[in-house]
Amino acid sequence: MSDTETTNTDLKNKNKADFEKEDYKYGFHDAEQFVFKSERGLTEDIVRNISKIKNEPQWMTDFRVESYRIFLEKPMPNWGDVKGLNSIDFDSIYYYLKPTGGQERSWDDVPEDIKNTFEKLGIPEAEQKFLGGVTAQYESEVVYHSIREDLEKLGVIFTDMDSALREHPDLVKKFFSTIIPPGDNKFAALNSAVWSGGSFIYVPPDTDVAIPLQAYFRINAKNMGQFERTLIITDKNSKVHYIEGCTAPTYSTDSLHSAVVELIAMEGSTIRYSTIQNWSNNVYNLVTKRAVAYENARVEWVDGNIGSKVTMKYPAVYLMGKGAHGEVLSIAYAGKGQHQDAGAKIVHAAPGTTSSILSKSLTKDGGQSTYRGLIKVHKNAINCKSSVKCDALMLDNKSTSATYPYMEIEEERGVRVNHEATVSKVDDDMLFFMTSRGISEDDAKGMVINGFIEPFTRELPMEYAVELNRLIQLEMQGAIG
Amino acid sequence: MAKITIQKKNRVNPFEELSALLKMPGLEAAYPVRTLEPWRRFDPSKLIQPMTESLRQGMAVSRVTLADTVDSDLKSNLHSASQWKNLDELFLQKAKNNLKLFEKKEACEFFENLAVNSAGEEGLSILRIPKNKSFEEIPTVEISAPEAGKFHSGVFYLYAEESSKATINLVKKSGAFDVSIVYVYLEKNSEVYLRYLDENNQPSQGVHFVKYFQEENSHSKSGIYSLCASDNRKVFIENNLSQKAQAEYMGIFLGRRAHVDHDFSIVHNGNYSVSNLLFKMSVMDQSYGVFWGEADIVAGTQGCEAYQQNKNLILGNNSRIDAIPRLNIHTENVVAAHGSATGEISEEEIFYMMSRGLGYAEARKLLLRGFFEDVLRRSFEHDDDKPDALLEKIWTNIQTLLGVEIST
Repeated sequence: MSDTETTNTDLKNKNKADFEKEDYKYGFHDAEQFVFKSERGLTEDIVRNISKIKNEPQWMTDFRVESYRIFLEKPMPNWGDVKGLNSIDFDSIYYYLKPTGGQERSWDDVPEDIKNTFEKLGIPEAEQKFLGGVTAQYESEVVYHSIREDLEKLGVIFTDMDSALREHPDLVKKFFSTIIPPGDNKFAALNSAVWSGGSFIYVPPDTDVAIPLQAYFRINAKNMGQFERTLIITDKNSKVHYIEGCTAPTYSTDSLHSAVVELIAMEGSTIRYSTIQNWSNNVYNLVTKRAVAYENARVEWVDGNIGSKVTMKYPAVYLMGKGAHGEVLSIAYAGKGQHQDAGAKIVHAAPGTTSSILSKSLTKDGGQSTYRGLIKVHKNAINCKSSVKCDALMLDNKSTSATYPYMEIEEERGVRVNHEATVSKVDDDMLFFMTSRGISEDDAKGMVINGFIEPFTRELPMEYAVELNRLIQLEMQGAIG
Repeated sequence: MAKITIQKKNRVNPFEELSALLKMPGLEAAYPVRTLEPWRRFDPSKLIQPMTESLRQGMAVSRVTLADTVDSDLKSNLHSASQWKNLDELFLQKAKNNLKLFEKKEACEFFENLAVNSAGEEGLSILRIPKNKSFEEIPTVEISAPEAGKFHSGVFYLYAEESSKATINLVKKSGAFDVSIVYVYLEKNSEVYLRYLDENNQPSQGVHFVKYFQEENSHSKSGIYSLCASDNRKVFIENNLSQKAQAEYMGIFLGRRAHVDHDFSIVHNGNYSVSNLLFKMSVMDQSYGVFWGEADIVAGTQGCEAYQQNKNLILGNNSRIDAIPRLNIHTENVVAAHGSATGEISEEEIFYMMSRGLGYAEARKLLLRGFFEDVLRRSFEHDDDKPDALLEKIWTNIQTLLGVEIST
């Protein structure tokens, strides 16, 4: 994702014809090589088997089996992209695929083919440049993991979820699935049953992790389901920034990505969670993300949805302590055949809590984008403030944009909840102004689009912002000109 | 479910369909709940129980009347069931063809059928605004429940023919349970301003529909004032806009121990159609107000504009507001925006006024007045010079509900 310098010069040297040839940059795939592959479909035996292979404690096996039962019972959601959801064939998916024998801490030891994949994606370079730690997940398992020594000395734990379960069982048992129980929804139950990999972060009190930690998720095999499970805990007055990126090869059959992400921000701590999701457009991306913020804590979701076939993702923040703050910044791009059903959910359950949501969406070539959000102010949560803004930019008349905000307010004392939304096309006046000054229409449109998403990109680390702008520009090449 | 006998009152029982439904394991089963989104607040099962209670007491048809003082020219155009023979065949056919205008929400189908069937021809009144006719006078049409404690239903049909123009005040008084429909059909170039006051100060339940259909270049303006106490009701307001049609809504919901859902659905079917919605809710004493505003701009249209503004004031403890403004846009060349704000009376504004010498109570009253006046001034802007009886009535109702004197 962050192989920025080479990418930038490459992009500059390319002309339009090259862009047209290149539809999805990460669409390559490597031959499947694995040490274990579960059968297609899901049975209780497969669930038990996954647990057995991973050598998990009994409570986790029980948890998985129970979740599997809930998964069978839970109905499919009857809202969102219902057609897309119902077309998922749960029996044709591989739920667990172990690509290598073990996990490496040195990049040189990672198996050659997997290393090549991640090198094409630019992971090691990004790590050298600015990251405090990297986890790379290939199919179901984390294949490479490293963390800077200085952070390790401070007591920061950054590891994959499976290792965390082995090495820090008490910590995991205390917080695992406390924010998102398996009964939350069908896909949370599915993830709870077959989860594998994902990141586990624990930041001890009064520790500021100044450099971002990153995880990278890659689906390589056909009909693969990736179910990573991420749990981040920041103890009192600590701070962390976590970034994840996702890609997959383009196959004609669909893959499923269904993650569960739980964030726990203790008193006075800050978590920023940035995602740039660029799955190929045959991936169903159905993710449950939820955070709990205690007194004066701060949780920020920075959420970019560029790829996938169907995305249904509503990062949530439960503001449980006085003065907590929740923020969601999201951008969605929906191109041909894509449906981005994204949004945010903020629950004010304590006095003096504040929140803000900024959502931007771009649609083109018959893409569909939906903002679906909830602001809930509970009784006795006095002096809460919330502001929501969603803007949609439509780039042609085949596309669809919808805004469904829900505001439920049960308290009046000092409460202010605002929502505004606009839908428009690229302003002709702006284009005229720029073209009359010698800028080509393509560039002018590009500038308008960059300006439109700027409130989002400025919140990303510089390397990511450049990459995102390039990605959007790439996607837009067909539309402009 | 036990068999319910419905009293027959010197007319054919229009409830055959309903009776059949009542024999089913539960009325809920007959109601197509499956089409509702899970977040949707309207819970039909809440209304089924009071409805069946009310049905046991018998049924009556809501009467649609015009005051005696109204100009006879206009009066001759109101046709209750008994005066249907006065309508010419061609018009009647045209009006009947457009009676069930559009079925966007399957969820309301049950109640709509119930209203149309139970009101029957007897409960249907048509007010016809003839071609090229413009009424200066503002008549008040009353839909009232003649028999208290009974289930009521009625259909009022306002039909504006080509290039006609009229302003109608509609005052509705509810019975124990009522299902009523106001259909408004606007032909080309016509202009209708409907001011709809729903005053309920007695415990009552019901479902109301206000359905518009606008032909090319027509212009509708609606004032919707739901001033309710001890009330539980659902109000559907729908509009289907053809080319260059314009619709403007100004609404207030003020509730005391009331739960009212206002469900707006505006479909832009024609190019350059414009809708503009301003809706304010204020709740107190365990009230629950829901604003559901939906604007659809269908694929292939050009230059449509849809605006929605929703402002809410929570005045008392144990009250709740849900605001759900929605936009469904299927084309690029549009201007669509919505804004929603919810809160209490701003302490800062009170402080501003108090620092200029006003007392706390006085400042609060002024702010409350300002909150409603914003809507009412827009609704009654042409009548500044002469006092309007309906406006007076609305202010009186607001003050009774608030329990404070706020008018000047």
